[in-house]
Amino acid sequence: MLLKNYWNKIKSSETIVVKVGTSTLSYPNGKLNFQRIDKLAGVLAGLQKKGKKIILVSSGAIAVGSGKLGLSSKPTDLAEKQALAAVGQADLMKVYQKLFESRNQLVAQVLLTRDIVTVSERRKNASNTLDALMQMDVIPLINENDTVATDEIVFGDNDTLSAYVASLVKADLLILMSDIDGLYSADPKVDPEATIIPLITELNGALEKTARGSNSNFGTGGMITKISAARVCREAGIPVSITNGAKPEILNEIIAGKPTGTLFYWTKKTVGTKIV
Amino acid sequence: MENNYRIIFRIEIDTFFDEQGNLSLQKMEHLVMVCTNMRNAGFQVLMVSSGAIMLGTAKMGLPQPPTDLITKQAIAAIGQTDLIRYYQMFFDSFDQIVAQVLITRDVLSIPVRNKNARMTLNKLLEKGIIPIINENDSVSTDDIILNDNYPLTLIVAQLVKPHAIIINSYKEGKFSLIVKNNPEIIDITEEDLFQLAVRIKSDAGIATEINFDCKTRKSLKPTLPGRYNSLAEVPMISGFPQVLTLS
Repeated sequence: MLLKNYWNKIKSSETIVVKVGTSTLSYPNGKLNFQRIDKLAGVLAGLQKKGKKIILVSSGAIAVGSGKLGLSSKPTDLAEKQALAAVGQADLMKVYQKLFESRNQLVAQVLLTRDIVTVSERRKNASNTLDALMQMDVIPLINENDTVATDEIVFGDNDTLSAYVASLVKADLLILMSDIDGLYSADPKVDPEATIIPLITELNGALEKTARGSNSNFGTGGMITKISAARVCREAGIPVSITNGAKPEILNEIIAGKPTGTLFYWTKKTVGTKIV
Repeated sequence: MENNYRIIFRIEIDTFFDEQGNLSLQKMEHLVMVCTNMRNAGFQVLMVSSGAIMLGTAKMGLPQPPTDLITKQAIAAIGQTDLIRYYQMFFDSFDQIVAQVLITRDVLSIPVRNKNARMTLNKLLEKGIIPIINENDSVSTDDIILNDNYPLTLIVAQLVKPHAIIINSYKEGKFSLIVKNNPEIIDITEEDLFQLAVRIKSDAGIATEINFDCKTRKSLKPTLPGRYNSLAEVPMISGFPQVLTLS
């Protein structure tokens, strides 16, 4: 099947989970890139108006907290990061709320931890809340609850959490936006021959080896966490798109089925154990 | 002046709404000023505040809060963003930095959660930031069902070991004060609170001072479940009474 035929199937996606990393939301100095967040809110509100059901998983709380407290360097100590996240999450929500509400789009904050996977009570509550919000035409804005959990802080940028959320709401598509254009055949910073892999239909050892061999700064979340996210979605049969968040308008192209970045599209029937 | 004395303000947001169901921003701003003032006097201040459902209800234009649990959870997720935005707006105007902390009851039973929550709260207090705490209603329903955030206040008390809990009751324009290890609820005015804040200058035990200061004050009678005759009989958690409903 041709690449564009896989992308054609993406067009019918209705429930879409979009994950944005800190690198998309802020400048390298840690300050927020308001213009980009404004565009992102505009594109997402526009898609929602067209009848899509959008869920946004957003990092960025620690960067915002550091900016608010006027810290010049990134904190390294875990407790410090958690404290900054608690300060920054409040500010980040304020920014999102303002930018979405100016487009007549209501949003809600949902802070989750990984136990939505393992604890049935948590899973049921989280799923109920998200379903009810989507029914009310409200866009849920999700982040990890850093106060009580440190998976994001320790393991990187919400990639896996967004995959769990996609499974939880039975999404039709997960879009991971970060500072790289897609999954490369090798680390582009080291290997000039590296090219973007446009389509992946099955996870295999070679792919993980490529990702694992990559520099840890290879995209903020790293490729390993993106592969982990893809594995979670593989079990749930959800396609995953990896794209660059620098131009949020790219979301419109992805949802219009234009080949962009890397697409994980599962051709074999899902047989694995149910994750969510 | 920093003395590491910790005070939890337990806020019931209903007291900020008038009979027409409108939020009084003036009352809210005033409370924020009182909290910031306690902070400026050298106390470490935490807020446990309800209000997400009431604000979410107002935002969605519903005549009254929803009754079914799932809608309540969704409304709480909508309202929490407004709640924290209002607090932040007012605290910003007094140059006080705040942080949002959403917790669930399992912070007491799951060791890693407990450690994380304590670390975060202690770090915030150490930095002079006021944490604004609520239950994470999206994944938990304990408080929604109870419709009372005093149990959540006690959970926070177990995490941060405060010296006193202050309960606002704006309908009467008064505060109620519970001092650790003292089975009495004391009715004090805002002026008393300020006086107290001004007078705490050293590491001399604040609990003693508050007790002493409030000896002459009226002691409030809480409503107790039938099996208890007086507050003295009520089991204490971290030095505070387990059940509390002010009459």
